[in-house]
Amino acid sequence: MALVGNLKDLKLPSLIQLNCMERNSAKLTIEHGSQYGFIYFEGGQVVHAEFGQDIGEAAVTRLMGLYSGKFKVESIARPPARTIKKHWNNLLLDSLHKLDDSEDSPERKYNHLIERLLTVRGVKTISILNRDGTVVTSSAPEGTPENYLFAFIQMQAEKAGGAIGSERPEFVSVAATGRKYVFTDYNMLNVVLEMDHKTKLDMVLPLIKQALK
Amino acid sequence: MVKKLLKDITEIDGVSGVFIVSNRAEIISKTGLEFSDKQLSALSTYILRIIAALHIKGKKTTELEFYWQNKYIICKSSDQFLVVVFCNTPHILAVIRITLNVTTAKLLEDKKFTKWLKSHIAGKEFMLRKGSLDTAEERLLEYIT
Repeated sequence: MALVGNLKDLKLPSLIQLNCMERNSAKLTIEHGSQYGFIYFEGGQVVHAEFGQDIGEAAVTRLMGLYSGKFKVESIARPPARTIKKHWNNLLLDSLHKLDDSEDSPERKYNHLIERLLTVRGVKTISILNRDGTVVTSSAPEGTPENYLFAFIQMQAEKAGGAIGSERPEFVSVAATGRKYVFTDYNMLNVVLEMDHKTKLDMVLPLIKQALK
Repeated sequence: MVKKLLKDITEIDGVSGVFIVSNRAEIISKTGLEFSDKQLSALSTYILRIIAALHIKGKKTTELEFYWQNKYIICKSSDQFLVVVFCNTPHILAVIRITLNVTTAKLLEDKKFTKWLKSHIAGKEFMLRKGSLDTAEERLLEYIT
């Protein structure tokens, strides 16, 4: 039977450690937004990994940086390729070092921001978008299909501020059909939080501001 | 009736003004605000566009809130009009939300008001396209619609 869960509850290093110590031959699939990553174990060693364009150790390092995403571990007879030769212990340590070194990369910075925002009560998903609506990153399993709508809303909010001689609003909250969206800025990017519909923005605002610092 | 309802809201400590606007962005009534009708109509146009864009995506907007450092705007949306309240403190927002629910319900019961509104109804497509749209907005609307 497959082991399923979310990286929010069980981090990837623990998952790798578990499979290696149990000497498993297995395929670990990670679903992060619209992207899929794979790590293959054989006899308790990590032997192959894929994530987007990355293969081997580079894929493991990028996967280790994920804060959330559904995972599934299934038993398999043999991996499709062997791109990793390192002992799993060294692989984990090297990947963690590389992650520390890339701490200042935009991808890591946004992932950290999402991690912090997800700790705020009522926050369900977070999307970070460019001003033109293209998605930078999203914590939503299904991605951000309403990205252009969200960008349009933030554009109108900025113009609404201009109409009364003010800047772009710091925060905009929209309640629509059982959903609540909160819009704000972060480093010239649009941030959209989907909240529990009963959450009142003024109640969680200090926590959101803290997370955005 | 409309004037009295608005006056009741402005009497809440921390409210700087309130206005009602049709979904054609026509100012129906206002009180306590220093902004001109033209400014408020422009503000409403952008708010109505948000509502219309959400409508196109099958979402019915009920409340919108805009927060600046020292200024807060709360809007209660009905199908045909918006009630917009300007506040200068976040501490009264909860009270304003409840008050706006009551105000909207009372307005919808006011026959004179609803009769007048009937002749000022606009479709959501009209709301979306009202005023001038720049190229960035047009491009986003192409994706949305």
